Amino acid sequence: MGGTSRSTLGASPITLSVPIPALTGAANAQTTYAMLDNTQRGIREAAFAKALKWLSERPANGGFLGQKSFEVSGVRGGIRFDIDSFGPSNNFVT
Amino acid sequence: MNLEQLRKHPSFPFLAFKQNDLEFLLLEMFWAEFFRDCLGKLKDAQDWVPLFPAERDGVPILVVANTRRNRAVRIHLRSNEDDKPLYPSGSPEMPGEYFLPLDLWLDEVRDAAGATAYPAVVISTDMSPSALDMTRQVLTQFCREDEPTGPTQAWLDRYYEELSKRGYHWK
Repeated sequence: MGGTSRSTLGASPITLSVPIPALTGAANAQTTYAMLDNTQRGIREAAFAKALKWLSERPANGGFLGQKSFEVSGVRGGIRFDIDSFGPSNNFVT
Repeated sequence: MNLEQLRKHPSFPFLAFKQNDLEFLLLEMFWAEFFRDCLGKLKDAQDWVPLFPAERDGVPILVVANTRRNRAVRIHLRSNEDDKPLYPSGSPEMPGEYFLPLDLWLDEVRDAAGATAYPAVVISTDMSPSALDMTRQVLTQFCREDEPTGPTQAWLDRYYEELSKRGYHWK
């Protein structure tokens, strides 16, 4: 989760020696979402739903390394839900 | 193709990129050339390297980093697909009601291994002339300043102040 500064809020990152399953990524996203208060959740509801949909649509071999943002449209302030994926192999395998 | 040729292309500003592979390719080329043009001198451009490929939905469309200058840039594309009214004055926080052609924030951008974190600016913009002009201002400043985050935050604060007073009024 983030705004215009570099301060962000999120669940602890997942570290595995194998590619991270999409379902594990989704569970981590749920943990992050649960850290928000009701107002914060309300404004990010649609962005969070898009993030979960995107995770559920990953190809079987994963296929993503990098940083993906699901922005809250129509507001200012860099309000978004981010999914980051790093490592030697593509994550979010299904 | 250079920036001028891309701007004169009949499909510019490539708004059908999500459905059309050629427009997506041209859009990738546009952002690489746009970024290079913001840097000005060729020797400045040589220190910048791409970190990740563009995503098919344009988020991101460009991710580049400069190890020597310890900074990175990520560009996201946005578009007013539902023809919503432009962001009005008064800073409303109503998700999905309005369209804001440009938003940006300071962040960290990491390399593929996640080992190196670069101070970064993330710019989320549409392809309108006003948003591209402001994106050029921010990119030029961020890439050239010795310590870029302070001036970029100051630019952002001024932008938000103007947005609050007048809404998105730039043409």
